[in-house]
Amino acid sequence: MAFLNKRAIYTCKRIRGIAPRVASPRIHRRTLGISLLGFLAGACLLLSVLTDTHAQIDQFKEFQVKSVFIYHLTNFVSWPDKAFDGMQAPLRIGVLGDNRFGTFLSKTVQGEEVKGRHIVVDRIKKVKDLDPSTYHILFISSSLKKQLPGILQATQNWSVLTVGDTKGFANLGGIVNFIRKGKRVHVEINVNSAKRVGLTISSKLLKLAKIVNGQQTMED
Amino acid sequence: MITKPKLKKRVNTNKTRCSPEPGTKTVVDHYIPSQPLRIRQRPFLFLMIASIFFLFSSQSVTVCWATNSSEDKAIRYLKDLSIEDLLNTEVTSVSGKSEKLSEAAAAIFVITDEDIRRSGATSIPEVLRMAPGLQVARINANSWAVTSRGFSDMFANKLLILIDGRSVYTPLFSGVFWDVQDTLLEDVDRIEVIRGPGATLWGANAVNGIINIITKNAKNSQGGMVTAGAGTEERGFGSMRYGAKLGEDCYFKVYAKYFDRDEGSSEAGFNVNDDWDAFRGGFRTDLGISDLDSLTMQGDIYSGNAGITRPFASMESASYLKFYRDDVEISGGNILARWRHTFSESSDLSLQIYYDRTERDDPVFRQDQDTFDADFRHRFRWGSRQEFIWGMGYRLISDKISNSPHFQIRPDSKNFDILSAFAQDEIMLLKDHLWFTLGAKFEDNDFSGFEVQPSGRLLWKPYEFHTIWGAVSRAVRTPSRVDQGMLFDLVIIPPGSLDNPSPYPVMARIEGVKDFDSEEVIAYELGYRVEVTDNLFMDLTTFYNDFDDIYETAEGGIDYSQLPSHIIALYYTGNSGGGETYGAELATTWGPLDWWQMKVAYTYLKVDMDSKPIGDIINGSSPHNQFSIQSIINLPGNMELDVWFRYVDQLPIPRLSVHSYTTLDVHLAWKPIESLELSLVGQNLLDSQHLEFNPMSFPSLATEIERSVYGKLSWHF
Repeated sequence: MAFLNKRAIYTCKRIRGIAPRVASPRIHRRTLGISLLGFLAGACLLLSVLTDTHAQIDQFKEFQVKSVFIYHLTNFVSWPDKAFDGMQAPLRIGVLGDNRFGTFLSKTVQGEEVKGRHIVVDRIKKVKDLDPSTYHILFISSSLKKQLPGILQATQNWSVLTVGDTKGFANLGGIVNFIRKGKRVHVEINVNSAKRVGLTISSKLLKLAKIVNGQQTMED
Repeated sequence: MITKPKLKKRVNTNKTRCSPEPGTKTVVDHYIPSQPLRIRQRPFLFLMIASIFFLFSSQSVTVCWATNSSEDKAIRYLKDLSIEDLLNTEVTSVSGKSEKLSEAAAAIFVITDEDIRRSGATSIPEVLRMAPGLQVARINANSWAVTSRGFSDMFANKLLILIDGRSVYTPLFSGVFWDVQDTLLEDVDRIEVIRGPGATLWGANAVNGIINIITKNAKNSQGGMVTAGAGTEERGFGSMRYGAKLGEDCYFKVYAKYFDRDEGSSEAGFNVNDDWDAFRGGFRTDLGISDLDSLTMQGDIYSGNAGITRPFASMESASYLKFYRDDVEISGGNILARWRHTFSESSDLSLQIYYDRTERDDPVFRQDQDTFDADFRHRFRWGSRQEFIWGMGYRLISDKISNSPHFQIRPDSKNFDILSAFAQDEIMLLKDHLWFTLGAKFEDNDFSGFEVQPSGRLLWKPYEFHTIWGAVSRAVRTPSRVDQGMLFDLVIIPPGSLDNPSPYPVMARIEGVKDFDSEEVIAYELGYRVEVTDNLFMDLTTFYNDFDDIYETAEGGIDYSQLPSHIIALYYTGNSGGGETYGAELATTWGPLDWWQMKVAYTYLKVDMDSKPIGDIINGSSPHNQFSIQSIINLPGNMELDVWFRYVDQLPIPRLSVHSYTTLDVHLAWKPIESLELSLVGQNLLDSQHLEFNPMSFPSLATEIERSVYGKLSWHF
């Protein structure tokens, strides 16, 4: 308690302007802080020389990886010419249901071209607004699990690459399905469904995927 | 004969508390308040329902949070990968939970790393100003009153704060010492602000909210970063962080930061001494033991000086006030380990232990405190419709206090512990449309004994982009050391005054008593969230809280033993207070253009405690209206211009003399090259200085916040 009283007397004096403001321990601490920072800066620089730092790896979100994968699909899948309205017609990606991609998917394909075609991403707000003939890739969110059979049925007559992230999507007749296993995203492909609507999937892609409901065939 | 002295000047509102936990608590729902909604609340209720229907009628579409440069970076990085590497890319663990925040049956607001960077804020409380439903007021250059839904105070005792799962709510005063809560802001991944009771999952004292500050995984903070800056209030600051990969799936980072901040200003011409400097350093290691197991170890140490002036009641001075004026010397450290095992996307298990030491040398007391905490939780799916989470926790706290003549905490050292368990079940009642969550936390603490804190929540998604939720919860604020053990000379009323016509000075003294029990709330919440279009998101929450057993002083008799020097009027801590609070909180995010985003937050709050004198102070310490609007613009040439305007209503008690104020912050940043960012920030630009709060619970001189400007440089390598 004594130290408190001493301090109290000092502070009171200081308030009244009696005691001079003495250098407080803060100064030392500040110097200490700065020198510690300097030391750490040096250590960091040294470390950066000693270790290989270019591996600037970030952790990504599931939807980001899926977005970029969908973009790659435009290169690894061939559509019949009749699926497009003309030589210049864009390749259309539709996103149906809960949009987990935000604007990430549109930004991913922004400015990209596939065989001279621009890529366009559309949000389809309601299932009843879906016109399957318009799209080349149709992502169907797992939020529409219940309506899945109906939606897949509706796309049967068009060259639409259906993509989903629902368990059993490929078995139901969907073409590409994302599956989360541990920290990675895996892909299932139903080759038969793709063939049925006239789509050709590159063998490079098939090699990376689990083939569902159909045997793997080299189509390249 | 002496009339009863009235507590006029400073009344202690210290609340109590025990210990918060990233854990658990609970209840059974048999607490039906006797008067759930009083008549005069009806118009308010009507408005709340009407506004929900109005919003609801504006049906439309979807998603999404705005875009930012880190997103562009991710796109560039991922597109450069081969398709094999893309499928080999690790994605954030346990995807579900954080992405599903917008589907939570609670009032949640998330502040992202990008939000923090673009706000220009340099401390955690300043960052929290963007969250609706919170009241953030700066008391002086180094202390804040941060609360949710009322009960604003220097030690706002009904809001729990966790930093990476470590509770920073002090069981000494019930509240948070903001002068030691900091981290490298650049390394904060997100801040989850949950208003309303969070006790079922997080434990006691999450009465009006819980804030989770979550820092980035070492894997996401690789490479080097150096920042430095200075300005008018920021005398100088700097930080550095370096992250490296140590091995297969093993990442490490180390950081250090230092700042020195200028004092505030006093209108009364007081010589203020609230300048503040602090050094902090720490590390974090994230290790993937296997695909399914991860281990995190982290720790921090800090040391700093935060100046304070404490006017205490004293017979030694003719003015009956003695000014304690010095630096609060603060230091401490913590170390934490967390192991997580993931069974599947819907099932995981985590075990966390930490040790925390804090030392505080205040002009009127000294505190040394050690905390040991262990927390376990397990989440799993039960059938196709239920998700179950349960857990247990134990916390042991040991403290040692050095008292001073005017402020004492008894006993001067104490070991106390808290044992807790919780369980919560989320049941899907209607597939993809309706969910019901029922949970409870059970806790046993040394101050108030056994506590049960239950909650029931309903979430309804009638259409895809609309979410309506409601909740009823019970939560408690457990007693603190101060509530049950303080001895505190509050004020001396001079003889011959209106309040004390006697010839002797009367000293009002507050004594904490063992009978002081937990404060209780039954909270009713109703919320609506809508994704109006791809770029417009709205979140409206309304609440009604019914409080009981709230802290209020009780007369303890007159002590004449000190005559002829003075008379002591004794007051005990007690639980005779109670009342209600209600309000509405609106948050809107609108991105009209790719490069432009706006965020609007509005908070309405009414606090109505029915006791005196503490109840009056509680009623008067939180503003009724708060409004914030942020404009976030990406300019060409790698420039950013962000403007943040805020309005805060006056504090309802005139004698606090805190008037309404408006502020404007501007953040301008330029990246001449990818690795270098230069920024210029102006804060509180609309006036030269203003007062935001006047603490009533514990004598501290409030100072005014001055207009400021600072420049900053960040270099990544």
